[in-house]
Amino acid sequence: MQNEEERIKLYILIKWFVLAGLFLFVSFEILTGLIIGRTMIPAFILLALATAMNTSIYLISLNKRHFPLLVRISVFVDFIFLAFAFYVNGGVENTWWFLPVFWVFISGYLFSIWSALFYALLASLGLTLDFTLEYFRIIPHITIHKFPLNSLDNPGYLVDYALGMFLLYFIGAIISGYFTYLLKKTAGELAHSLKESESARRESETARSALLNIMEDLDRAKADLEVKVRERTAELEEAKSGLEIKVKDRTADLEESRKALMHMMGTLKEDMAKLQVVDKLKTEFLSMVSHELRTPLTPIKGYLAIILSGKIGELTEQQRKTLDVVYKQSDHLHSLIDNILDVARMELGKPIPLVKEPILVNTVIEETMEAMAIQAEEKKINLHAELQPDLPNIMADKTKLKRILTNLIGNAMKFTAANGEIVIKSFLKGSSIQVDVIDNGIGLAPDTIEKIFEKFYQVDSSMTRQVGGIGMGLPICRELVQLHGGKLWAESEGLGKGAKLSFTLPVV
Amino acid sequence: MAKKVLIVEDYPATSKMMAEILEMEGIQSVITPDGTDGLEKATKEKPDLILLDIMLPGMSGLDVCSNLKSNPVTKNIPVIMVSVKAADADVKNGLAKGADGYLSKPFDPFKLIEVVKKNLGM
Repeated sequence: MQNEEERIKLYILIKWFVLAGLFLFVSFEILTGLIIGRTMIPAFILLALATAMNTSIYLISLNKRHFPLLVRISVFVDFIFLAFAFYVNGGVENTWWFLPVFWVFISGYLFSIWSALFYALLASLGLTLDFTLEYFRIIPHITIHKFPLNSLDNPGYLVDYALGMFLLYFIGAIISGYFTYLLKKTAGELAHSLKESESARRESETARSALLNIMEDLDRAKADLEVKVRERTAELEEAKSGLEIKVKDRTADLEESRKALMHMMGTLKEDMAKLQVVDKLKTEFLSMVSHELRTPLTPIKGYLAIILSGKIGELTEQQRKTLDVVYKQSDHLHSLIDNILDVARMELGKPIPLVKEPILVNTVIEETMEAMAIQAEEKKINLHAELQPDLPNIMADKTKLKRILTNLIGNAMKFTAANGEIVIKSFLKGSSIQVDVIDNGIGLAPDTIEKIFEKFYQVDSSMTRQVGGIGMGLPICRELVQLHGGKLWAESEGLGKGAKLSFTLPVV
Repeated sequence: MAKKVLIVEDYPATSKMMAEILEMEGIQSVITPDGTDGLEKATKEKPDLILLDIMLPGMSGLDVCSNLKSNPVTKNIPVIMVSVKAADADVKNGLAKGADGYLSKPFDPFKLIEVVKKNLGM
């Protein structure tokens, strides 16, 4: 349905058309002499004025708030003009009193049933007023027909006429209102359903667009993922190729290292084989040398012993002393050679043979000390013993035990200055006999206490020349003591504080 | 009648010295530096005692000893092994071959006299 403004515009236009149609028809009546024309002119002027007023009010009211109310008022005013135009144009004599029903229809259609009823009421009131006033001669009757109907003096006609018109207006208003109502209702329903379908459409549209959005999002996510996957794949590919290169490099490096190592190992094996050969040769050489040296030593020592015995002639005191030194030195040479032989045996892994017999440790100590007394005297060393008497017999190799003691005492003498002191102690300790060889010589640094038992160890290179020796004494002593089931160790409070070498021999 | 000792020793200085030591005690000596020759002399000379070195050219002293001990003619002659091989095993070997004594080099001349006299029953 059009909006109110457009409806009013239409209403005004219809009025103009009706007015124009009426004018043409009345003009035809006047020209043909059917009605007296002079009275028509003011009626038309009034109607034209009313419609013009409508139009102007409409135009003025455009875009104003109170627009519908003003127009309605104008329609009411309009009717007063119309009623006046009917009066001027014959009043009761006029046959166009049905005309307002058009206005009723139009207002019912354009506005509402109430507007139509109100208009119908106004039209009825206007007609009744005019008829009543004319009948009672309150206002003068204006004749418009050449042959006037004598209706003015006929009240029955007037009432019929008025009632007819009255019914016409109201029935028109009701019909108009009802149709308008039906139209509006249908239009409303239509609008409603349109609205509903529109909202439904919108909802589905919303849903569809939401779905589209989701799909778009999914598409975007998929595309993102694809890009990421491509990127990661590329990265991985790169990393992989990098790794491959690294692995290749490392493999090559390792291969090189392996080759180098293999080569080194080969060289080492060769060197080791060579060393083993050299070592074996050395040991064999030592063994041979020891034997070969001992061979000439036999007649040397033998003859010296014979000479010293005086069996082949008396010796002067000087000769004896001199030969004694020679004999002692050959004795020392003998023990050195024996040491070498024992080392050779140790090196070859051959057992050093022991000839065990029951011996008294103190006796062996005394014999050894006796043999070394001259040496001690020469060096002005106070060599003495503190032996525990009544020590039990033990099973031991006397020669070896003597060698151990000779080595230990000899060592002590080497490292003890003139006027020094060496004490030999023997005592029972648990199930062993312990022998201590204590000196007040140069002593041992803590880090050398164990080193002195290593083969070929020399205390100090400058010292070596002074004291001699090949660094074999103590290792052999330790070996020999261990062969007897005992222990050999060294103690010292430090350099310059003397040393104590002790060994044990189990009693059993 | 003077006792006679056979000395089988390849080192001349030693064999000579041994002979001289025994001489001092009035004991006669026959010297040979060779093992094979020693065996021969042992049967020919019929010594009262044999001083036998182990390391000998030609035949080892140990072999000489076992030969002597397996020969009925010589088996009763006392054999003293004299060697630088002053090892338990050597002593055992020598004694196993039938040797009657053992002396390790270098030896004390008086020890030699003692051992010889003992085996000669002097």
